[in-house]
Amino acid sequence: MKYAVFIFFFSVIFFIPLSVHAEYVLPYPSVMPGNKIYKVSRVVDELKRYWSFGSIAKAKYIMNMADKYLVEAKTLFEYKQYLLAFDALNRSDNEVIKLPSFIGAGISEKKNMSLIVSSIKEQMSVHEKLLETLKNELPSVFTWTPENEISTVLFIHDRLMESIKLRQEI
Amino acid sequence: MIALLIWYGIVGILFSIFSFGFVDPNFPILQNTWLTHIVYQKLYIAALVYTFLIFLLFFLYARILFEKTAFSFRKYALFLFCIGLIFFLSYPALSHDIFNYILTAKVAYFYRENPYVVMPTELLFEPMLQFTRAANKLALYGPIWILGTWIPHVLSFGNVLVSIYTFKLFVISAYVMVGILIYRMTKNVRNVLFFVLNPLVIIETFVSGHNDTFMMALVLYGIYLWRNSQLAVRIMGWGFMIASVLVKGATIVVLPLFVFFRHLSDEKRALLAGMCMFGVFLLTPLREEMYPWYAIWFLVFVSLLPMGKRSFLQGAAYMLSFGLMLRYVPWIATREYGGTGPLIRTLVTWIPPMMYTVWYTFSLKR
Repeated sequence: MKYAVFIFFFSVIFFIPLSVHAEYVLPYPSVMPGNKIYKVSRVVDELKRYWSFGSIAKAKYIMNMADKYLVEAKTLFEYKQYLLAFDALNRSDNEVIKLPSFIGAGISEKKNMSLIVSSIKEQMSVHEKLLETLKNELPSVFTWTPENEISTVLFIHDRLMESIKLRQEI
Repeated sequence: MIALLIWYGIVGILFSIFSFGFVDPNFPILQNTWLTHIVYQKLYIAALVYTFLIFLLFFLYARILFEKTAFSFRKYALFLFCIGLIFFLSYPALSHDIFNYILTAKVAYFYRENPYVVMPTELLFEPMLQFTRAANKLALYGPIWILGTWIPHVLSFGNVLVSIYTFKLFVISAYVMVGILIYRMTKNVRNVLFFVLNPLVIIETFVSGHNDTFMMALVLYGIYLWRNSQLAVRIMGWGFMIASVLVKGATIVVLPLFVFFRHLSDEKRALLAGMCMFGVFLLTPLREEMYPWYAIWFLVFVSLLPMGKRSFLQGAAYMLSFGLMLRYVPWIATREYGGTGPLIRTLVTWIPPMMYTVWYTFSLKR
């Protein structure tokens, strides 16, 4: 019996294949709005857009930017800088929208884009999870009232839902 | 002299034939020949053959350098053309770098992707991935090199075998340029022979097609123009020197010599430049390894120094070149980079120049 139990555990450990999965990891937050070099970093990002020529390079660049701005939005949401967070989320969404066109361009150039496509799928799922977490943590509606200016009503949940939907459609 | 050059050519033919034994098992043609069987199965025989050929080449090289009779530059050029053609036809046996050059150019000009952003491994089903090493890295060389490789890439018409030879031709054109520049700067054929017949230079340029010769041709041409009295030509000289830095970066150490030591004689400048390049060469193990082809960096400048029968620097450069070519022996004999390989490689590299230094010191005392 002892041997049977041993053999069972031995086979479980050594013979049953375990799937190892390297999860898609979002980057650390970069320079945030308000920082002296924030504008410089945005200019650098724009220059990198031209540097990343080619459909694969462009798709990789867009994925990086979508990640970067989403992490920026998350950090800003956490610090209750909702207006700035909305702006960052818009930028992230704008990058995500561009992805299919570059995938299409790569395919029309007869490049094998399957590696990028699978990476994008993983990325979108990580994005969705993060946006869902934010939706659960943040208020549904928030009225932003700056000093001496007209207040803005922010429909946070709706906006986050919009971003989730966009990522699901990709 | 003629006999020596003919012998050099004969050993070159043997080396070229032997090189085809190193054809990568995944290379689309020339696999599984009797030569590949020797190189991949009878490792010690392959190592012995290689050592013997290297020994012969260095022996003939020394004999040619010490030969008293001399020809005209043109006659030498004819012999060198024949010797070069023999080595040119060989397979890049000792290094896979040329495949990396070809694939990087393909990423840039065939796939139209930025090679500094997209790695070759990201191009799924690319046939060259089967036999290209370091394909999981972004472009390793500077923009001037990548721009320059457009020429051999276009001339290859997408054929891998043809591209090996077009890329080699591209580097050989730089080798020819270095030879001509050494002659123009020294007016001495022996100085030219010291560089162009060095088996290390020949093998790393004509067999392996390393881009170090291209980098050195640009810096040497830059220096040649910089010596001119006209400002516009001097500026062009600076342009070539900077272009050289944008090939591989190593020549950046030479640039301060043309800012801070402008009034030095050509000989002293060549000596200082050679020392700077030798310094970078000594530091290369910090980055990766002391590869034999890095010796081209300082050999170019050593070739500019006056040739004498008892010139220590040229003698030491000769012995170091020999030692560096022996670095391939442990790899050919074991097909491993680790184990005792690094220690043996260090020993075989430094024992010949150290022995020479000891001999030179004692011969001075006598």
